[in-house]
Order: sequence, then C-alpha cells, then structure tokens
Amino acid sequence: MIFFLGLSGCIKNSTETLFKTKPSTLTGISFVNKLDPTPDLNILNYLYYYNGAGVAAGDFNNDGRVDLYFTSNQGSDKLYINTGDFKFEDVTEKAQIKNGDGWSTGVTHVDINNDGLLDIYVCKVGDHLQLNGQNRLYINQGVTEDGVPLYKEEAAKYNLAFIGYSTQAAFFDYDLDGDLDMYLLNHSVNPNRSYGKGAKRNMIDRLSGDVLYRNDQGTFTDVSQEAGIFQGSIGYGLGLAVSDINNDGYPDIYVGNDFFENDYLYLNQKDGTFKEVISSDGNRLGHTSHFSMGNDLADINNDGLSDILSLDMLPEDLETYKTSGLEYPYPIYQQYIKNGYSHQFMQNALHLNLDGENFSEIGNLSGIDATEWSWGALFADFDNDGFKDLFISNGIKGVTNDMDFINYISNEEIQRNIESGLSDKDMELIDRLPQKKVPNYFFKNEGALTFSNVTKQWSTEKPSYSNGCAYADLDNDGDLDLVVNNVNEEAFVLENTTEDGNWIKIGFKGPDQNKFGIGAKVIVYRKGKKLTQENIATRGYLSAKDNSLNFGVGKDTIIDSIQVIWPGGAYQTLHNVATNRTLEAWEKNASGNYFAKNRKPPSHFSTPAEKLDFIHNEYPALDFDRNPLLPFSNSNEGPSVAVGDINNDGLDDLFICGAKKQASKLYVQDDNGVFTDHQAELFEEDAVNEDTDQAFFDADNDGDIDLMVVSGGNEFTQGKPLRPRFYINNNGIYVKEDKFKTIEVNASKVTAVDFDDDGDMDICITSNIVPTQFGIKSKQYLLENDGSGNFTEITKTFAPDFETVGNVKDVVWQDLDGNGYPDLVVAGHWTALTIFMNDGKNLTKQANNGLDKTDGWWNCLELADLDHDGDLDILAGNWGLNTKFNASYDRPITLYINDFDDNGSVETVVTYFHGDKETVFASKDELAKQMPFLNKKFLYYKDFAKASLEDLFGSEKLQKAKKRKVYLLATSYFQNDGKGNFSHKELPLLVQSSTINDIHMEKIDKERINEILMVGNNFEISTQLGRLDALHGILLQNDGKGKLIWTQSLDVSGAARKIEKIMINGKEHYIIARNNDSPVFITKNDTAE
Amino acid sequence: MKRKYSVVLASIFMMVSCQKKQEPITITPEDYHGSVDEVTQVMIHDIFSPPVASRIYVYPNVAAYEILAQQEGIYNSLAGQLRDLKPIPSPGDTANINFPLAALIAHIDLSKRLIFSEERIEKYRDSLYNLWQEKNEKEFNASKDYALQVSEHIAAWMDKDNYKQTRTMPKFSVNSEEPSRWQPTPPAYMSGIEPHWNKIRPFVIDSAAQFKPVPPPPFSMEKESDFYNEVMEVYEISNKITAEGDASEEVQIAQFWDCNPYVSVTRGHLMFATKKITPGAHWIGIAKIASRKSNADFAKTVYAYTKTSIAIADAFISCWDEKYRSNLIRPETLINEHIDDSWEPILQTPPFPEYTSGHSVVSGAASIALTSIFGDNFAFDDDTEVPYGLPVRSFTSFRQAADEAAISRMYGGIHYRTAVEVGIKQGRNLGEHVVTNLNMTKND
Repeated sequence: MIFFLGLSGCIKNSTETLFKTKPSTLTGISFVNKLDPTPDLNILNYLYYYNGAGVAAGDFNNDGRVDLYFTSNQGSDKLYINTGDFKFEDVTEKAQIKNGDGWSTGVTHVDINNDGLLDIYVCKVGDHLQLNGQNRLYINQGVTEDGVPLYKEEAAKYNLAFIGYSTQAAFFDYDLDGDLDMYLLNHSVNPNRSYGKGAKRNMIDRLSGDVLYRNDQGTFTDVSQEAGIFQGSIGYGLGLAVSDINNDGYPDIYVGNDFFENDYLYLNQKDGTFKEVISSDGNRLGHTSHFSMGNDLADINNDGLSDILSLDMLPEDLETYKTSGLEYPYPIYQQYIKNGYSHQFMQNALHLNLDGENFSEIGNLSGIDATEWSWGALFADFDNDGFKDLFISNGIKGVTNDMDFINYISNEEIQRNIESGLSDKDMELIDRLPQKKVPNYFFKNEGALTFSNVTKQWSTEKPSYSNGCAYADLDNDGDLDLVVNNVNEEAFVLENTTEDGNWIKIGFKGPDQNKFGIGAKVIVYRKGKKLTQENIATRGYLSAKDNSLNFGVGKDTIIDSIQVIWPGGAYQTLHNVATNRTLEAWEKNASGNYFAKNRKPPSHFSTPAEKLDFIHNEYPALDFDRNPLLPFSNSNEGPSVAVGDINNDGLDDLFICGAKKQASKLYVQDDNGVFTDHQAELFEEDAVNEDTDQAFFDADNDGDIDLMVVSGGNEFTQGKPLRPRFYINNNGIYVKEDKFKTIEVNASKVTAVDFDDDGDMDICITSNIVPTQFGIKSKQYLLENDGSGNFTEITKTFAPDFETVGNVKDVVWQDLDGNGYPDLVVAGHWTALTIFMNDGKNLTKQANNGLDKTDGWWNCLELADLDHDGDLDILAGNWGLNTKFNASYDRPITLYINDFDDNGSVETVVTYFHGDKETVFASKDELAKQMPFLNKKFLYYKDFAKASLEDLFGSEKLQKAKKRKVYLLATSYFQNDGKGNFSHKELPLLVQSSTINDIHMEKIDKERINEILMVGNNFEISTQLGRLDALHGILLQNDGKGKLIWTQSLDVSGAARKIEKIMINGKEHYIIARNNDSPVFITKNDTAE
Repeated sequence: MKRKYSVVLASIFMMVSCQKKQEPITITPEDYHGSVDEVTQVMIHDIFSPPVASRIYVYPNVAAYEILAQQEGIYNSLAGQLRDLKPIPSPGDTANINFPLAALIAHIDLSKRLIFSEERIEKYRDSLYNLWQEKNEKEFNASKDYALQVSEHIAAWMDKDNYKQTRTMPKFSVNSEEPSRWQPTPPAYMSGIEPHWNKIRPFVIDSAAQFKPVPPPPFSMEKESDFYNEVMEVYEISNKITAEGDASEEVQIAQFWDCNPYVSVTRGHLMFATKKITPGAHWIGIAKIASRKSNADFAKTVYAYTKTSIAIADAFISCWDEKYRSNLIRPETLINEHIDDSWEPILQTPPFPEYTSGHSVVSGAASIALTSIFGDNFAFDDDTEVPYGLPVRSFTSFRQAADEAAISRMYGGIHYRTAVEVGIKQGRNLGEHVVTNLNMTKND
C-alpha cells in the first residue's frame, strides 16, 4: 500500500500497515478489562455495563518515557511503567495502588500538589446496586530507585472524594488564577423511560449531575451552581473535552450527553461563570450528536480555531443501519424538541468552528459521520504530514438497538426476570444480546475538510470491543503511538511506524502551580499554515494523554516559527526551529499578552438592530403526516421579499411574504430609515394564503410599480388560496384587482419580464409542486400583457416545453444570444438546469449545452460573468453534499411513483445509492405501514435489510413506475466557454454543507471583484436525513478569474430563504428573509474595506 | 446397477403395502380451537394493533361459519346480513365434502392471508393436511377444494373493506398547541394507531358513528372541574394501589386485562418488547372457554367464535371512530405535565387517543354476544392469560367479566372513569344491536 507513503515515495510491503500491534508477550501489557455479568450487576440493571474503561498516558516516574495507567470495571486498575523499547512493567502493587474494588471509569492525571510529580485521578461508580466506589486521587509520593512511583490515596484531603456516577474528570485553569480547577463529568443511571422535560437540567442531582470544582489554595470547592453548570438528572455525560473554543484566552468545555439530553458547550464568560450555548442559542451549532459518547476538540483545518467532534452510533454498514433503531419519525421528533431539547441526530457530529461563535456541522460532508457504536475520538497527526488525522474506537458487547431483537427475539421473560431479580440461569438472556465486534476506524485528514477511511491501510482491522484510548509517543521516535483499552481482550498497544514526516515535540515547564503547563497552547507556523494544539490531558474517552505536544510538519526541516501561549496570555515566539527534536517551553521565558494583541479579525458585515416588526410564522409541516415516505417537506417555502420604491420618493420600500394564516406585509421607508407597515388591512384579506413570492413591476406603463403576489406552500390543493393576486398602484396606494380568476397554481416564483419585447411587462409564474402530490410535474405559466395590464395565458403556444419542464423553483430571464429577446434559464427539483432560447415567438429548449443530466434538487440560480470573459456563467443552489444522499448519473437518487400495493393511491418510493447498492430511503417501519405486504415478504429487519429493490416491490411495479431522478446534489458553478457550452467547476467545500436557497451577486469592493452572498438551510426534512442547518450565510470572493474563495460566514443562522439588497438611510444593506423566523439585516462594515 | 433397480422395486412395494385403508375424517371443536390459537400465537409474534387483530379474527371465522351454514341444520347464512357479503359458492356435489373439515381449512387459509408469518401457518396447516390426506384423500381433497373456493370468495369481500386504502391515508397530526389533543406517550412515543379505522366497512352496524357516545367532560385543568377531577382520580387511585403493592386486587385486575400486544421496555441502551394478546383476543379466548365448558359441538363453537368476533370487529370500528373524533389526551401526558413528572401508569399507555376505552367497548360488545349464545350467569374460570404469567380469574357471568375489564383500565392508569363507563355502555348497546340484527340460528 503506497497510498499513505506518497510523501517519501518509498515502497513498503503491501501487507505492512502504518500501525503495528505490539503483542503482550513483548510489551508485558496483559491488561484486560474483563466483564463477567452477574445477576447482581449486568446490562439489565446498570445501563452502562458495557461502556468500558480508560487509559491515562503520562510520565509518572519522570524518566522521560510515557507510562500507562489502565482502569478496570470489574477487576483491578493497573499501572505500567515504560522501561523502553515498548517494554512495560506492571508496578501496580509496588506503587501501592489498590483499586480493585469495582467500577473504575475515567482516568486523568495532574500534579495537584505542585511537586513536579504526576498524580492520578480515577473516576468510579458509587452508590448504585452493590457498587460503592468513590473517586480516587492517588498522590505521587516520589519515585523509588528502581523507577517506581509510590502512590497514596488522598482524594478526601482535596475534597475530591466524590461518590456518585462519575465518568471522567478534567483539570484546567478556568478562572486563570494560576492553579488548576477540575470539571467532573457524571452520568445518570436511571432508565430513561420518558424523555421528560429539558428543563430538568436546571435541577440538581447530587449523584449524576456534573460538578465544577474551583481550586482554592489546594482544596476544591463545588462552584457548579454559581458558575452556571447544569447538574440535572437527565445528563448522561459520556464525553468531556476542554479547549479555548473562541480564542479569548479562557478555556471552554464541551460535554457530550447520551440519550435525550443536549450536549453542553460551556463558553467561559471570563468572570467565573459559563454560558451554555446549545440550550440558549440552538442555531450556533445546529444539531448535535444524539447518543453522544466520546468527543474531541481540535483544530482540523489549521485555521487556529478548535473544532468539535462528538461521537454517536450511526452504522456505516447499510444492513446494520436498516436493522437498528432509528430516529423518531418527523412528527414525533417535533414533540420531543418542544419538550425543551435541542436538535440531535444519530451521527458523529463534526462542528467546524467558523469564527468562534458559529459552527457548521459537516460530519457527513467530511466523511466521518458513521463509525458504528463509537466511544473514543482522537484527532492527531499520525502520519506527521501537518494535518490531524482521526482515530475512533468502537464496538460493544451487548448491542441493544437491534430491531429484530427488540420486536421478535426478546420476550416477556426478560421483563419478568428483571422485575423479580435475575438468577444465574437467567443470565443466558444476556448472552442472547446481539454483539458488535468491529475494527476501530482510522481516518486520514486529506487537508481540505475531508477525511478518507484508511482503516485498511493503517491497521490490521482486528475486530474488538474498544473503549478508552490515548495517543503518546511511547518510543520517543517522534510519532504518536496508540493505546486502547478493550473489553474482554488485552489492551492494544499500536506502534506508529511512520517515517515520512518531520516533527517537533514540545514539553512544558510551567509556573509553580501548573508545572506541566496545562492549558498552554502551541502554534506552529509553516508556510502560511498554522498548526495549533492545546495541552489538556483529558482527551478521547475516559482517557488522558501525556503532557507534551507532537507536531508533524511534513517535509519541512525548519519551522518558520513556534508560538507558545500560556494560560493568562504570556507568550514566547521561537523562529527558524529545526525539526525532529523535543523542545521544552519555559513559562518564565514568556511575556506580554497574546490575546490583547491577537483579536478576532473584524467581520465584513455587521447586523443592525431589528428594523421590521415581522416574524414569519410557519404552520407546522404536515407533509410527513400525509406521506411519511418523503425525504423533505414542501410546505416551508417562504418568505420571499421584494424591494421597490412604491411611492416614487427615492427610498426603498419592501414587501415580505406571510405564511399560511399570516398576512404578507408591505413596509414603507421614511427619510430616517424607519419602516412603517403600509395598508396592512389590504393584505389581511388574504392572510390564509401561504404567499411564496411577489414581483414589483409596472404592469400598466403608468410609471409606478404595481404588485403581484403568488401563493403555494403545499398547504391547499385548490381554491382561492392558490390564486395569484394583483395590486394596482395608485399614487402609492394599492388596490386589489381580480385579474387571475381562472388560474390556481402552487407557485414558487413570479417574474415580470417583457418576453415578447413589445414594450410591456409580461409575467412568468413557476410552480414547484402539484399540491400533496410529491414528484408529479407541475404546470408552468407564461402570461402575456396586452399593454394595459390585462394578461392572457400563452404557455402552450409560446413555450410548450417549458410548461412541462418539471418542478420549477427559480428562473432567470436574460438575453443570452443577443437577439433582443430574453432567454429563460430554469432550476427546479427533480429537474435539470434548462435553458430555453427565445426568438420572440417561441421558447425552445436548448440541447447539448453541457447541462443535460444535471437533474437536481435545485432551489435557485443566478447568471453572471464570473470569470470575466464576456459571457454569462451559471451559479445554482442545490441540496448540497452534507446528508447521506449522494448522486451521480450512474448512481442517482430515484423517485418511483406507483400504486405498489394496488389500493388505488400511489406511493412515493425514494431510493439512493449506498456504495454500489440502490436502496430504499424510507425506513422499514414507515414503508410497511403504507404497504403491509412488505411485512408479509420480509417481517424481520435483517431480511428486509438484505432485500433488493426488486425483492421488495417487484420488478414490474418498478419498471412501470413514474420515475424522477437526481444526478447532481452539489451547489454548482457552470462555466460558459463562450460558445454556450457549460462545464462544471468546483466551489469551496463549505458551500456544500447545506442547501443553498438564494444567491446574491455584487460588485462590492472597490477592486470591482464580484462578491457572492449565499444563504440557505432547510429544517423540515426527514429525520433520517437530520437537519440542514450548517449554513450561517456565506461570503465568497471572486479572484477575478472565476475562482470563488470562501471568505467568511455572514453570522446569519436559521432557515434563510431569500437575500435582497436594500438601501436604508443611503447605506447598502441586505435583508435576509428566514422561514419561521424574523428577517435579518446586515450591512457592510466600513472598517473591513 | 442391479442394486439400484432392486431399491426402486422395494420402494414401490413399500408404497403399495403402505396404502392404508381410507377412513372418515373426524373434526372436533378442539381442532377449531387449535387453529384459532395458532392464529393468535402468530399474531403475537407478528405484532398487530388491536383493531387490526380484530379484523384478522373475524374474516376466517365468517368463512368457516358460512361453510357450516351450507349444511342442513340450525345455522343461517350471514350473506345479506353482513354488509356486502354475498352467498358463498354452493358446494355442488356434496358427496365427499366434510363440512367441518372444509370450515377448518377455510379458517386456516384465510388466516394465512391476514397474518405476516405465512410459513408458520403453512407449517401448521401442512402437518394437518398430511394427516387428513393419509386418512381419507378423497374426502380431504373435496373438502379442501371447496374450502379454498369459499376462502377466495370471502377474501374478495374482505379486500373491499377499505383496509388497504386506509394504509395510505394521512397519519394523525400531533399538535401540542391544543392542550386537550392526544400526544404520543412514553416510552416509545409511537404515532397514533389506525386514525382511519372508522373508514373500515362495518359488519352489522350501519355506520362507524351509529353508537357515537356522548362527548367526554369538557377539557379543563382548572381545579375542581369535572375533567380535572377525573385526572386526579386516576392519579390518586394509581398511587393508592401502587402503595398497596402488586398483590392488591386492583393491581391484579389491571394486569389481568392489560392485553397490550406490544409493550416497549427501555432500560438505558437496552430496549425490548413484551408482547401479549389483544383485548379482542382475550374475548376470543373466553369464547373458547365457554364453548368447551358448555360442550358445544363443532358448529356451535364456530358460531360462538363468529358472533363474538363480529361484535368485537364492529366494536373497534365504533370505538376508533370516537377516539379520533374526540382525540383526547391520555392521563399520563397530563399528570406528567401538570401534577407529577415522574408518575408512571401501572400499565403502559397504548398509542392512541383516550376516549372511549377500547377494552371497555370491546368487552361490552363481546359479553353481550357471548351472553346471547351461552346465557347470562354463565360462570367460568378465565385462564386466557396464564401463558403470559398471569393467574386464573373467575367470573360469574360475561357481564361481570366485562365490567371488570372496563374498570381495569382506570386502575391501570390509562383511562379516565368516563371513558370506561361510557365505553362499556357504548359496547353493550352495540352488542345488543349486533345480536338483535343478526339472525344466525333458526331459534333467533
């Protein structure tokens, strides 16, 4: 496998992997976290029985080699001293560590008494069944002559002898007073029968609530409540990580909670308190992992900002996925959210840190969202190429979400036995639980936000039940080895054999109260790249790393510079540092304040205060009640917004659409830039309509702008709420005229355009759906103006191909061939980007222009000369690449519409490709509810999972079905070669993190470079797809040659539908209209220019 | 070569010599009980909601009954009596037809169409087929041919009952803004089951709404309102009997009549289901007990099952009509929301609206049907739930059993008193209507 050896170019034997397993016969590490369920203690009465144990890597005897401490659930913890060359000695007894009385969980280290020797803190489960542990603090008493550290348990002395359900602890200086404080992560043990209220997080549970301890001159004080830490009984804390997320110099905390409860992102407020972001502003992170387990905070894209990874249990394997319990269906999921929870989905969640405040969840886009039942995550540069790779430990002895087990295998005996107490004989039941013994995952960071699965190339793919894990350079050769604590199997010691990249290792010599430099941040600058790490021991899952930082720098032999920033901000910069050696950073050599000097770069935009008293109020989406097989809803279209000067006073006024049962509003701007509601009663008349678009245009050529409004939103199937409305402008006062009595259309957009070039404005109304009929092509409309504002439909004669083109979401009219007639470009769902050439008499569909086979879920498009070569290129917003859907011409998404069960009504079956296999999207439960014959064919989930589409539905039904396709999901840039041929060009990957709903193009800068603003997101999609909430608005800059460069986020969260430019008080603004939310205004900052 | 030849010869000889004397096939009531029980077991395995289970019981029974009614005797055909049921094909040459056998085969065949795990029924069927074939091939074949004809006829009728169509109809819309409106309940938070069951073609009642009950007390969580008092009554009774322990009579009653086909159990990461028979199945079980106790012959046994299952099926249609009319919220949701967020009902709340109580309506209707067959004050020991770990309970009449089934829902913490009291009345009225309008025996 030369795959990972590209840098050096040397060829290794193909059977060799980057990591080599060191056998216990060599290492002497025979530690096994052995689990023997007993009637007294097992998965049925302790829910985390199979969660495993941890490992702490640290130099406990100060001999320069990293030692290992393993925790054990049912046996004794073990301390191994590294004697060099991957040989270890079990010194547990000699070191006087006696921790064999049950259920150790997490382990970390700290020099709590500031004597320069590492002490060990072990978390335990106490006060549950016969478990009565209390957390241990082993104080290092010094090292014997033969290198054995002697330990004495003194937790009580420090007030850290917590008794409860502890998971893991982390030491760090949250208040920057110089000493190290402690966060203790605990977990609830109550079976979570009901999801209850999220508000329970505000109550205090002494056994399962987390605790923040402040170090007060060596004794620890519980300051959880005053610091704003949640301590409720609904916290099932399994993941804990610390990092300065917003680069303000103060450490922040991420807590992963299993089950219903949110994860917590605690941002340090610098005054001894924390603000929990997820529960207070759910838009910042969007959705998180649902059944959160381990996590890690690290900078994956070398931009100096810590990103967040939280693990979950989404299977990569399709059959496993289809036999597993899935998210609630959409309607039930909404109820759960209403009970006070934030959005969570079963997937590894990777929150890319955009600016310290906004995050884009790109787990799927980056390729790491599904790694089976996952415990520990470690970001580290294993191949020393300058990018942090990823190790994930996984596997579980007792899989408990297997749907066949739940429905057909488990039986009432189990229940009765739990109630009446288990006997030895009944333990056989536990053996019947399905097991998931799988290889751990390795991902290589490809450098552009994506990871490739290199499990095969880097490891022997040995299946295991792996939990706690830590990396450390065990043989001091400059690369990071791995240690993994396994259930019922010897711990793995994996030697890293990389020889390719150069490296630098940083050790720390800190001040008296923090001798190991906990919380220090190191930035390695190499040729414009910025590699950042922080020295926080607690990392991975239940585990800790040693107190040094290892950086890979690829082929560089000299590092431009290295900055070491200490807690409090003092820093030191080293220039031209030679590689492949270890440096020790001394705090006493640091000075100044890094954070005073390095503030966040100013944003291009600011967000003025609210200017409209309007909040779009979307009616709850009923699409999934009507048809649970849908991938997404069609009833969340608005609001659109239009800007125009309705009273010819030179000031921009605006119209914004209301949702169903909410009137649209017209706002008039005054000289002070204040907007006032205008003629509210006029629009109140049609409040029931879900208005989807509007157009200001002069219909009667009298010099003022009239108004046309269209409705849709999949709310009504017929009648007045689907009729376009026309308002004639009489000196700034609108009067409704009933011009379209015969037209009912579920409209997506209305455009005014003089398509026959006769001097008056004609109308184009597009439609995205036939109401409630998913995937059926809807009719499009062209209406010709007779010059005085009377309209006649001419679609059939003027543009028959356009009438039936598909499900149109957006159109642009522009003269592409210079013949004086505007041509038409169309974007829609299940529809290709299509160009219709206009010769004044007909719209003719253009063929062979490079746009066939672009069928997508297009939402919007714009035409512009992006590459400045004199022709018009296309930029079109699509579904994006951040869900499990991928599509290509060979592996499309297909919608099959047929009456599969012969009951007189059609079913809509959506399929997609998982690898090479076309598979049905909807879950077995949903499908069988619609089509019970499927249960007759495949009652068991495992059989359903294996069945082909033909097996499920029959090839004849599939052949005869109406089919719609999607070949392309990426938001795309099509470059025009000047002859009308379009070719696809790459956009920055982050553009694909969500659906793009509107694009605005501007020449903003003085350099006259095009800037492009994009907004999007879509929340009402199937819970199997999660929630498209990663976008916070995007600013792309054009390098003038058509290369679009991601510049920043717009700091606009939510489900944005439309962006329009508007002058307010003489200053350029943009209004961004958001579904089920208020519109946001942003304006360009002068300072950023 | 020679050797092989002789083996063939030997086997031919064996076959000839094994040809047994043909004897008449005797079908007993126990054979029919056996088939009904088998279907019940498959239903438990496959998991069917209570309304759907009632449909699975009724059509096979009607098929069997119609075959028996072809014979001279006291039973009248239901053709023209059950909505849209046309007379089944006449048997033609009846010389070799064993009517009880044909009835049993039709029961098995139709049941197989209705459940999911066909291979289980096939296995059961084939073991019987082998037996009968061996006994009397001619009689078996003639009876089977006729049974399958009838099964086809009944299946065609069944296919037009709107069941398929209701599969594609909209699901129940959860809307928690409306405080009285039903919401999915812990721990599985399943969607509302069968919101369109009132569109299933009824059997005897003229429409789903014929026995529309009075509305429940107006929703109000104001203290001292009637509705609030009913919520509190559920909460207080539940607490009281929980404190008394599992041995208390009320807890025993609640558990005895649980009849929940799918109880979801979640223990942290561990989930599983406990599965029992449905309310309808319990009353089918009582029909068996009564048939046996009264030494009913084959025809009367089938008659009892058929009449009871018709009453039950119509009862579900009537009850579900009201459930998705009033869409009333369950006690568990309100008690957790307003009174005690850690309260759990003794029984798991089933996934559909509260009013009226399905078990009450069904028990009311089934008890009337059974009383019309076996008489009032028919005492019996009910061991239906023994396989599910519950004790035997004794009753002095079907009426008494129905009363207990109804009140059990309040003890179980899943229904308010009104749903129980109005429900059993609704069921009894419906049952009376069914027995009055059905002319099944010459004595009717």
